[in-house]
Amino acid sequence: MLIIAQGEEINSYPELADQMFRLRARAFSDRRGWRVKVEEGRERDYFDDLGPLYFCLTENDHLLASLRLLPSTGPHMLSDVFPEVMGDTGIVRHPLIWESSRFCVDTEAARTFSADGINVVTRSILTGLFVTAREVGLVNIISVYDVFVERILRRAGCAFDRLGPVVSYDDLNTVGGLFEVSDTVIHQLKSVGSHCAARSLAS
Amino acid sequence: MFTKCPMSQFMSNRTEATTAKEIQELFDDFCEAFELSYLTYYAVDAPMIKGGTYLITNYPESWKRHYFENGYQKIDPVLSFARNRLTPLDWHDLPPLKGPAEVFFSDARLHGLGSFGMTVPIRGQFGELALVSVNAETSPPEWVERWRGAIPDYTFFAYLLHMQVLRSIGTSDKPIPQLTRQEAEVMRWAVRGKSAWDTARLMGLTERTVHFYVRNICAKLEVATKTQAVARVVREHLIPL
Repeated sequence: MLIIAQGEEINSYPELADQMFRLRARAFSDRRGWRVKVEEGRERDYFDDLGPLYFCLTENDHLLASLRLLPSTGPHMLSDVFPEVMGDTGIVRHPLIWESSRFCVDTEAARTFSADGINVVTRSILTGLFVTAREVGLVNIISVYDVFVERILRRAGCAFDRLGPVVSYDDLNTVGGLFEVSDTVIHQLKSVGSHCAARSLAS
Repeated sequence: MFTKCPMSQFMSNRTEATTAKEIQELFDDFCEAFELSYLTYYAVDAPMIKGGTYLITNYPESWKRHYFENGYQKIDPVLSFARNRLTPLDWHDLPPLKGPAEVFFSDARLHGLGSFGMTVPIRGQFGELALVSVNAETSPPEWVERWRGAIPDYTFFAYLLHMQVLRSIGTSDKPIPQLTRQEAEVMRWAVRGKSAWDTARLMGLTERTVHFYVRNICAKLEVATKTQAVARVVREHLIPL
């Protein structure tokens, strides 16, 4: 199931929120070695205080993947934390271009779910993201991630462009990506999914 | 930028309106042009504005008086609900009203407000939130039809309005927009009449990235369309051509 919550709505799902902050601590601090602040096994930052739009993909109340979306007109990571990865693009301020961040998949849970689990989970949460983005009228999504995420996104059937150079932060190769929000993209994500004989999660 | 953008175009043609009187006229003209009853701009949590809030509206004087005399800002369901949102809010999607808020909309109608409303929250770079609302009296099918495919235009309009209000109250001056090297190159080709497809080939970019640059340029120049962006760049000599 895909749960979408914005602002204070996330407080209606205390257990899910807790799972999300724990998954983020495991994915970003433990596994990828990002220097993020972890307290009591939970990773939270300043941008979580801004009431982002959260996307949480669950199966039987267990969180499989999550991400958050913030409008580029307000404070966001590419303007406030990683402006270098935007290269010549500069800082983006547009009410219909939002930033996705803290995308993470519980890889172990995804693998037990199916052999192709990581792809299925990635595709499911991205489909939910792009369908919702389309509904609220967004035209692009931008994001900063480490380069290995590009491979996951590509395999999931997601088309994107690099916006700037690969920049190293703490030995971590980071890049800015541009995604288009359109029916074509949504169709693509769904049709790649149907080629893989895996069951779809998003409903 | 979108298939149709009449509201954003209206706004980008009115950038000279900066005094309180001119902005009030702009609100009335907007409502007349788009067959709406009222337009309201309400900035909250605005650290750069004294008192943190700023209101502009063409609601009837009697409703404004009634609203503030009764401390309705504490129970206003649109305000309390949209304040925690990032996405557009059709007033019909508000959760069921309880307690003192129950009478809010019937009270509003007594003062001449319509039964339909749409609010777009715009988050600004100082963390402020600008709530831009329109109100109308119409029928449910017409209301649904009016917004079909029109939300992006309304959202962009709300953003342009927010930027203009910030300038009018002096929290930001009108700086000469600074285009990046890439944006300037996109505009040089646009001035020469090149399409996004041509520009993508010429610059070694994808068409997707070129469209994205054009959108950023429009937001920076506070215009609705590529054509208006070209006109502004040429008129104000914003880049060496």
